[in-house]
Amino acid sequence: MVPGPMAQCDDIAPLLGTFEDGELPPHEMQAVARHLASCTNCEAVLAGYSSVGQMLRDAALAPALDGFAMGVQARIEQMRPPLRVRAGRWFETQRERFGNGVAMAFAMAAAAILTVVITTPFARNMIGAGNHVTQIAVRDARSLARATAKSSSAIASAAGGEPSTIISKLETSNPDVAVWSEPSQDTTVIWLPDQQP
Amino acid sequence: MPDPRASNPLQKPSRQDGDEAELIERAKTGDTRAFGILVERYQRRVFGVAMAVVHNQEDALELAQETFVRAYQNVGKFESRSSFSTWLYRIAANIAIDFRRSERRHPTMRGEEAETEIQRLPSKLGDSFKEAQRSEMAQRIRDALEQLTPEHRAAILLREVEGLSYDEISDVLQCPRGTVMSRLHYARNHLRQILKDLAED
Repeated sequence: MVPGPMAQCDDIAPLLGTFEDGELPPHEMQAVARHLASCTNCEAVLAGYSSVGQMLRDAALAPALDGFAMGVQARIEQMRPPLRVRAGRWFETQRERFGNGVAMAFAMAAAAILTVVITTPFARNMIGAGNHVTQIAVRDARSLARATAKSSSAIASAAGGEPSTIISKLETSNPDVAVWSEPSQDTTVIWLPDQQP
Repeated sequence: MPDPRASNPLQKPSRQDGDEAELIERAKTGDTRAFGILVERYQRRVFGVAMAVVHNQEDALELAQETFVRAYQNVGKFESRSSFSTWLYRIAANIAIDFRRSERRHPTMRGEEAETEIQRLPSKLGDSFKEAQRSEMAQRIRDALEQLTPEHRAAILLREVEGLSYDEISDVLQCPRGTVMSRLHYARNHLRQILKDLAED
């Protein structure tokens, strides 16, 4: 609550310490200062706070810290450096020993690993699947019409059955139908060729 | 309005941001010497944060060392979203709070503590009256602080002795800014009442 122009001591008292610390917002600083100008009681409280602060500072023990930093340093030097630091140092040592050739060797090794990963059966399958879909998309109109007819008949014959039955019938009777299934998301997508007039 | 940092013996270290960023980057690559410079720079304040929470010098020193070791282990994760000092103080506060919790579960008697307290007392022959008075005053202030809860004590010491802003205290002690304000208000009032005669002197 912001103290008004005629603020009472009860309103001002909780703010005195914060005023002393200069941590009140400007309008409250002004209100407290205005009140203090005419209130000897609050002025005495504020002076009391001030002396308490001075006494605490006077009584504060200035510790004997001679050798403290050296003690800390000795302790941290005995410790095993973190893995990140050790790895950095190892690379630095290798670089100093072999020069920039090491960096080149690492780059070539990374390229080799990438090549192996790309040419694995999984990667080939991924690339092949993409081509297959593309091929379906560019089939000529006649072939698509034929495919559509086959698909329609497959769907008609499977109608009334389970969804999995429909999919398997479509796949066996028509190689131009692409089925993509994502069981974890309970989603199945079937690509059928466009029907031609 | 006095700035607590003006007469603060544990002043905020002066730092050049560029220089500090470079030291942090070097520390991230395992440069212990660069980290050592950061330790030198922040050791007093990290000690102060630990001291504010545990209120015991020996424990605070041990915890400060632990703070820097942990900071070194994790400096790779520091992303400059907050300032390095606030990040360090947060680690210090967390370690100190954990330590205090475990202490509460397993309270132990400490011979060294009593010994330190005895050492703090002025010897009858050697010390002047003024020094004895000062020591007595310091002891009274320490006793007054002991009457506060650790949360209130940490808040008031972080503000008055370490000169942290409210936002920094809120970040270090992981509590809302409003809670910082209310803890400070309570702690100040409480200390003012207990130390009224000293303040008048």
